[in-house]
Amino acid sequence: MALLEVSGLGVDVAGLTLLDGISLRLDRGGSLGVVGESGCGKSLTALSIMGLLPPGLRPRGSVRLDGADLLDADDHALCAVRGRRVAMVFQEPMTALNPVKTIGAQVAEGPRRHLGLSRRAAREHARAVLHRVGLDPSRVSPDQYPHELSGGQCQRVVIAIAVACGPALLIADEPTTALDVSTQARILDLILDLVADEGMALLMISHDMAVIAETVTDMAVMYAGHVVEAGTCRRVLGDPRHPYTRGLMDAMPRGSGRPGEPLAAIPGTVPPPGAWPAGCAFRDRCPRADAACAIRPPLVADADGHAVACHRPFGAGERS
Amino acid sequence: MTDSRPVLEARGVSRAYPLPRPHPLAPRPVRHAVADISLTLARGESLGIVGESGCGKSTLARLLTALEPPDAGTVLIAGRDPNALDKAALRRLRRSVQMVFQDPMGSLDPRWPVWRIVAEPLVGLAPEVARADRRARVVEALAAVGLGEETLTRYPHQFSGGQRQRIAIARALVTDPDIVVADEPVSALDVSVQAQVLNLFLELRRRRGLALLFISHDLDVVRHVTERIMVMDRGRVVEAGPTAEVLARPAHPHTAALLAAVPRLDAAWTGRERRAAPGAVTEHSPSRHR
Repeated sequence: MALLEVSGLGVDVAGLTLLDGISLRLDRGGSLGVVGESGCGKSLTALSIMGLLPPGLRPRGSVRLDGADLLDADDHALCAVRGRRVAMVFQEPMTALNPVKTIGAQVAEGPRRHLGLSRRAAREHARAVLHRVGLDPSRVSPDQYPHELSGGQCQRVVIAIAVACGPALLIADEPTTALDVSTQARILDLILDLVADEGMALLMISHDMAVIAETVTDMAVMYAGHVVEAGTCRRVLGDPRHPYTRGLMDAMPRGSGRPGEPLAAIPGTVPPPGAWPAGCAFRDRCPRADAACAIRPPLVADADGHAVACHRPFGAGERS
Repeated sequence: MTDSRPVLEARGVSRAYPLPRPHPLAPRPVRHAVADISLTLARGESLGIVGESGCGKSTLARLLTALEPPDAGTVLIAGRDPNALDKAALRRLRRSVQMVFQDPMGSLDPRWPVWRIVAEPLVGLAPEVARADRRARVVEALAAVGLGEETLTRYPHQFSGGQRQRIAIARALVTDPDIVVADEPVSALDVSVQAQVLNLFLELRRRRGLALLFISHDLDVVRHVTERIMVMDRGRVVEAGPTAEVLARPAHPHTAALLAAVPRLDAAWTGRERRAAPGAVTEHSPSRHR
């Protein structure tokens, strides 16, 4: 049985569809990346899994963790899962932390609640976890407050909070977007170390294909609330079939052309929910679109599990 | 006749900021945000400035655009020291150097329509331009960034992030500057839109002969749009030279560490190595960063 099985997940608000037909699978100890531009629904997917959708947003489909559906679960059951079985690392370390509590107290909160530790034991545990994420107590005390720390150190605290109870699944939602490259590299190193040491499964959400390439083995590309391509990173990035995946890779400065020459930009912008064209949501921006694209293409996998939702995909090995 | 004088020059500029006292009787520590930096930018040339956050890139931009005076050293815009000019002369000089900032939402007034945002530098720096001519200049600047006249009466929230950054670039172009200083202009944008805005910078340079000072933490972006590069670390320049050469064969360990930290697509098939070079770049607490 898969650790996490998302099938047919959709999210609606006031008659508007934000997310539709999302299916993802993650095995124990496995790693999966979700990549896409802002507004494609990747964070909503994560929030749906965590049962943290904002009021008014209604999920459909199913999110199964160890076989139990989280979408049906009541608050009490969800509280037993969140932080204990599934934990999340958020994007903005400065806003994810409580500014008026010490970092040690914030890390100790989960273990107190979920592991039933005494105040003293939880404090000791927090100290050890902070040390584990690279915050040496001799340099950064658990009694310090978030504002006394740099962005990278704050992100380490956020990671410490997430792993404090030894979750089976770690969801990292753009964990390094607010950080510069060197700090990003160290935080990614840390996440990969922790995942390997603790045998956690990793769901990495990022807008950066290269971050996905470096951190996970499987990936899904999202566009306008749908998965448009999925498979192993090796296949999806090595031989992208969907014109959107291809377009994203060609638009990266390292992906195409010589310095000073125009980059292959994708024309237009990501349409907001409600303005998605009927049929394939990418067809307005797609160089290969034709009449067939007025009908939404299903996500179809080949024998190797490389799935693409497109009527006019690039052939295997075809150059753009 | 071509003008061989640099359009922008810095001679040994420094800028330090006081930090809070650790305790009431202690001397006030200072942080040397920019320490003894010299550079020249020729007409039409592009220079990239890279480094980690807190290395002084943005402070340097503020000094070069005369938004702040240096503590030591001289800035020369078109051969003239902006910090030695009277107000009227400074206004005239400011027309030739304009800025584009990172966050297009934060740098555009949400209560102003586009025409007013784009016209503002004209109103402030070129009051002799008649009201009637202003509109034509605004329309021309918007056209240069690919926005039509229908945008004039719309407000920033009605645009996407990429379009907002176009508006910010139009505002920078309206005084017909020789130099544009762009501070992380694409880091808030999605990849597909980032490519559009980078293409716009490339095109504006080619068509208008703009000199471009491009500040970014993204080495791939800098590699693509600049001819020369300066790598900064803790307020100092650690390496400088032709962009392609410096990034292909970094001579300074800090440059090499920055390059090694960049995530790579080919990790999907070659596998990932540890990216962070321990010790080469250290993670500071703000209070420890002196």
